Amino acid sequence: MCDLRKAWLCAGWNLYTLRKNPRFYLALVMGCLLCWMLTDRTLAISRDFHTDLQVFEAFIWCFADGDSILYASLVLMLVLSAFPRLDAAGSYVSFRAGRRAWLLGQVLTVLVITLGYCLLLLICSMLLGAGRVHARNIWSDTATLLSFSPGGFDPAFAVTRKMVKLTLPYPALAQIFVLLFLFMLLLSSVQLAFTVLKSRQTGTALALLICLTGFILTPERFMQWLHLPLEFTFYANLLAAWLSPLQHATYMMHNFGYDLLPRLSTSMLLLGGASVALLALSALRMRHYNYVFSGGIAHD
Amino acid sequence: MTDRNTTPAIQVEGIRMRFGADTVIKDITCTWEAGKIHGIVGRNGSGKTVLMKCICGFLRPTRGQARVFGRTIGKDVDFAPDTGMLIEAPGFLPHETGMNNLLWLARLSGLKGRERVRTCIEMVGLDPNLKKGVGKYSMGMRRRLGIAQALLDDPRLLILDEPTNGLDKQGVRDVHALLTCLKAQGKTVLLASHNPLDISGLCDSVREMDGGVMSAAYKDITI
Repeated sequence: MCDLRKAWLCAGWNLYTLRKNPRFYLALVMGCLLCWMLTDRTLAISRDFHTDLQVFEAFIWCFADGDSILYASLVLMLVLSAFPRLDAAGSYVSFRAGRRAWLLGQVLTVLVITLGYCLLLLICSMLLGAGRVHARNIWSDTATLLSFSPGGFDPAFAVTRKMVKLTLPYPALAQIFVLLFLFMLLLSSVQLAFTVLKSRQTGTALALLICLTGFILTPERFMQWLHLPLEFTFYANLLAAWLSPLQHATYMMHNFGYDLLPRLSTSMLLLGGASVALLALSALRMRHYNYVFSGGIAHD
Repeated sequence: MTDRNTTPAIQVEGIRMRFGADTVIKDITCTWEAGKIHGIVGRNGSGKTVLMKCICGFLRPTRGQARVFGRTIGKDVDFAPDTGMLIEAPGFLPHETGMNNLLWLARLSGLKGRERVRTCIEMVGLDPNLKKGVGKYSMGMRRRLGIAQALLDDPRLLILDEPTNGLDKQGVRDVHALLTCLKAQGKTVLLASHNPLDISGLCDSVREMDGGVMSAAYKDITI
């Protein structure tokens, strides 16, 4: 109980230090800008055809796509690369809190920031669509347009047809939000675990490497590498969907009952499980971690 | 159950510390009694700070162990119990006042209210109402604030690495007076300095470190 109180205090201290951190504000602004840029395609259709939108649709259509998740995650890395704090200031905090509480504090910090950032993207996308939205749990006319018009043949919108047929906005929002959150959590866990295991540079490099796999391990690349003809796209999709962490976070790359892609629950379990395993690994390493700090003024 | 009166404040048993191929501390064994001021002198890079970090629990020695008040660091406890320390310099948050910086640390120690923080800041000769951020403090002021944070929990043991570094003559006298006063209250102090003259008058025992090896106490009034 005492550990938990101290862990929350450590997290509070970490978040408090963000108040004067320009990178934090830069990430907030970039997150909002990114949201505006990524949702604009959906909003433009709604504007051009004078159709309404379900309040969460801008977020759903935007973050059902892997590229959007990747860009948003890269922005989040701007903030998370500052954690865990292992400088002199962090070491002095750790001395008072104890290693276990301190690490738990870092995990709480990462959870709070990641969740907060996902909520920021959600709120931002809701505000951008304000004026022509409804909150009912039914798809809007814009969704119908996206799914069953020539616009729906755009690969980025191909998912809409699946979604509109199989689910409703609220469950879709919940699933996409959880996938986005878990992918970002995986990146944060990699960053945290490998900073403790090896060094901050290794942590950041590996988190970026996971992002890079998102760019590399795509169905198109597999088609290219394996010289697959178009009719074998299914196999390239399978490889990408199972091998790439980003594709696990991409809604459209899942099994909705008629193929061998991973199920949503499988991907959530894999992403969440990997994060938990990495955090457990850091907890083990933390017991023997050597604090190497040289003092001076902290960069908050 | 350990006896508070007879248990040495610090016991170091065969501590060796390596960073890669570099052996920074070479099998040091020694004991520091409670209720006294002990000094470690040695040139820069002689291993004083690393030894202090091992005693505090920041570094896990490659071999050997440190015990503080009978409790083994890294086994019984994560960090030295009932200890205040100033090693290198605490990385205070530069935009926050000294009071705010210490308030966060006090909360982590479970101290309620501002009174203890205020008292500690006053004990080191700083103004607790000073509104400027620590980033604008002089080096000496930051050092004093560092000592104040070490005193926050009213610890039985103080581990201070170069506590008078950057202080003017009056500052050095103030710190010496403070440490003498703490000794009179039964506290134990372990001091490190690269300047023997700086601490020899103050300490009950002084040991010298050179190249990761520690000498026998060359000044020890208990002998």
